[in-house]
Amino acid sequence: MSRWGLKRVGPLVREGAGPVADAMSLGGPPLQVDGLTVRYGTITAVDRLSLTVGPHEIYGLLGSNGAGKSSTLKSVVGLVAPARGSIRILGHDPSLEPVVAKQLVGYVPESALLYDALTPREFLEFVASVRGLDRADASQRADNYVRAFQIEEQFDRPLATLSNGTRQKILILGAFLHQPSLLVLDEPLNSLDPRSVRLMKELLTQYVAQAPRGVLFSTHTMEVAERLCHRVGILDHGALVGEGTMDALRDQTAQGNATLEEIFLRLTREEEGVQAAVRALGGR
Amino acid sequence: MASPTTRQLADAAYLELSFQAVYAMRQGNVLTARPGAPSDELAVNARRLVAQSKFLVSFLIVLLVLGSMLTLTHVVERFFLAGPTIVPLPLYIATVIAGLLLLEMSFLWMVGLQSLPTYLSSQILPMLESLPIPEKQLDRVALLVVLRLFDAPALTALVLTPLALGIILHSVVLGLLIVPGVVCVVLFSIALSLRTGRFFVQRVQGSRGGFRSTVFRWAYLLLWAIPAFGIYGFVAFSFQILYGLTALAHTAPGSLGALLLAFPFPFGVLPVLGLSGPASLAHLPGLNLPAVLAVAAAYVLVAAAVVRWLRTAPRELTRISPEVDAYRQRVGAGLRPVPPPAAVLIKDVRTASRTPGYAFLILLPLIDAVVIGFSSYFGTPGPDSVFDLGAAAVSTTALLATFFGPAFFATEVMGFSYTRTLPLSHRSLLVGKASLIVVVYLLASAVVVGLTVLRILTPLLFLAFIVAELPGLVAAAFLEIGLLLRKAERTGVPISMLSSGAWWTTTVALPGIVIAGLPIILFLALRSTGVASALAFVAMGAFALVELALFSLLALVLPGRGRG
Repeated sequence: MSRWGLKRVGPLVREGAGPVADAMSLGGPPLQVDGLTVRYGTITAVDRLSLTVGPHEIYGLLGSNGAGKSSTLKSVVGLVAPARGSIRILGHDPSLEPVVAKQLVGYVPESALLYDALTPREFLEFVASVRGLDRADASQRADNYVRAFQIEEQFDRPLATLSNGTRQKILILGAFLHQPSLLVLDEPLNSLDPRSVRLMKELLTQYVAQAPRGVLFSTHTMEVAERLCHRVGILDHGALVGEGTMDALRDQTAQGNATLEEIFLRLTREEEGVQAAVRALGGR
Repeated sequence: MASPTTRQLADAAYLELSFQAVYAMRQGNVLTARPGAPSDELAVNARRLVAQSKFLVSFLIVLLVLGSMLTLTHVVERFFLAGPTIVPLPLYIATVIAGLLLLEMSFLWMVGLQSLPTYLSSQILPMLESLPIPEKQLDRVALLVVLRLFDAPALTALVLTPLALGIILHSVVLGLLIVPGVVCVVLFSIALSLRTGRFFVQRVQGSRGGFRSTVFRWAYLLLWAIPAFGIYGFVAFSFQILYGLTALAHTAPGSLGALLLAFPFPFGVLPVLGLSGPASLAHLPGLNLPAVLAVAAAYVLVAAAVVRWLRTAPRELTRISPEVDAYRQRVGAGLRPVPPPAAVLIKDVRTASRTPGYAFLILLPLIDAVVIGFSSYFGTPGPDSVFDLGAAAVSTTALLATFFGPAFFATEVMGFSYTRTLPLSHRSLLVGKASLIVVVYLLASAVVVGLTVLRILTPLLFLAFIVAELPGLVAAAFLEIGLLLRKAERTGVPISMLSSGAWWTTTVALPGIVIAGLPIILFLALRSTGVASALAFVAMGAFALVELALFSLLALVLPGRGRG
């Protein structure tokens, strides 16, 4: 049993597994973003954003709704074409080598939208096939994760019939299956039960500790970001308004014992707005 | 009548449905917009694409009506007015009109089967359920949305059928006699669509993985093939049906009478009665006037019951849940990865096994093969039978496979955005999608060979004919899927669902059909100029190989390796 009472079901994260060793030999951090700009028509969602996710690092991207978090993550995984700027995944440019770059990334989208007509087993078989995984490895890893997330009973039922939480677990499983060098997680803890949230936190910490992998993580939950992330980037209207470790952010805002929530509200200049909204709703 | 608020809600719901059908946001598609494009451009596009699809479906109904009417006038003038024929004229007219009604019903049913999965997956009604809207108003909104799925094709059938019949029979009244029949056809097809939709949600959607469940699911999905089988069977065996009915008039008039009371025959008999009076019943043994009128009235009453049922059925359909199979423990979470193109193929077949619209696309060429196989049993086989049958089987199967193949690209809208994050190269996607077209073609060909093996004594020659066309088919598949991939890459939207993007599917499928058809046309042209069959056959194979080489180069080599 683990320290959180979770039953050990086998090694979920293997040291040096996946394409990390090969990719690292090429040089470059798991993720480097320079001057990224994303536009939807006339709206600029991300404005000249630069950030780096280093090896052994969990980087948390925070921001209000519409701040540009998901657009940034979608650009990294190739879903949205940047209007400007560059992205490098272990030195590979996704716009020039999309297949190579995508092989290095595992992605959990913000919405659990999948092939509804497939069962988790069928869906993961498709993912494992496209990622060129070995049968024994893929089965062993899937088996470990399925038991860890306790989804044995749902494994052969169509995704259309599963709850959002279970679908989210399947997406997480799909992202970890090939043990990628970079995990891109868009609100991965949404819909998960408390046990799975705890499991996920432990998994991520273990994942980057055991190999030079990186995690880019977007969340609204300040407590999770504060405890889990090595560094945090705060987005406001598409631009990075603060970045660093908790201590560095405290220094930046000159708030000695501030929580991440207080830092966030200060950097996004939302504190006053929140107070005003509370007064307005309270009728005072 | 629906209130303005109800109509407004239904308009908004229908726009959302069109949007979902075209852009598949709920299935994970990511929108891209042109820089500087107006904010409502996507909604306008969704409306336009859905309207185009409806126009195409309505046009096919126009062709059905005009084709039937042409058959009626041409055959009557050529055979019945020129001299005595075997088939009695009243029986002929009643059968053609009933046949037209049957075809219209099958066609509208197919429209419903294609559209309902989008209606169910769009989640429009559940979203409205959470708002403080009265129950009755929600029922009406659901009904209006479902009716709008059928509006243009149903209106085409309702207006054009009586109009065309009135013109052909030179009488407005005779034309109007068909109206109750067409109304029944429209209502029954909507009801059948909703009932089969319910069946899909309950029995197919929740069916678990594994070989046995898959076999059962495909058996269930055969139900969806019934309307297609109706169309094919009626068109392919129309003469055999006519002669069969005539024979029945002589040998078992009672059975013929009972058969002519089955839907929609009485509505085919009504215009005949109006044309020639009750005396015409002498040519329809086993039938009498009261029975025809009573049964027709009974069908109208059933249609009235359907109207009542339709008040609540469309909303109820959105509230039912799948009957999930009882879980049976499997040993471990074993996965069996395969090469990426095979993974694409397997995913599509698995998706089709739980999605009637896609299952239908696979089953249709197979049904076509069964019809062609059986049709070979009529007539005497000659020395060139194998080539004639081969040309018929291979051309129709290849054309169907290439026409419906691109629609399978629409499976990518389900989880499409997720797939775009996977390291799947264009080449793997293209080969995987093209493989499905090839598999459908080979399966259909195997069915024809299996059914005709006793009839055609040179099965090896027939097999060689199938193989000769194969490169042409693969070339056509590469062209179609290649065009779709380019379109998807440019716009970020794989628009090819028959229910929403039929226009685009058609513009892609047409060049594909030309490429697949050219080797067969070459074969037939050479034979018609006196070239020996064997030589024409070799020329066909060589031409198909040239096509394959050309389109492989265009689709697989030129775009470059590693594109994803």
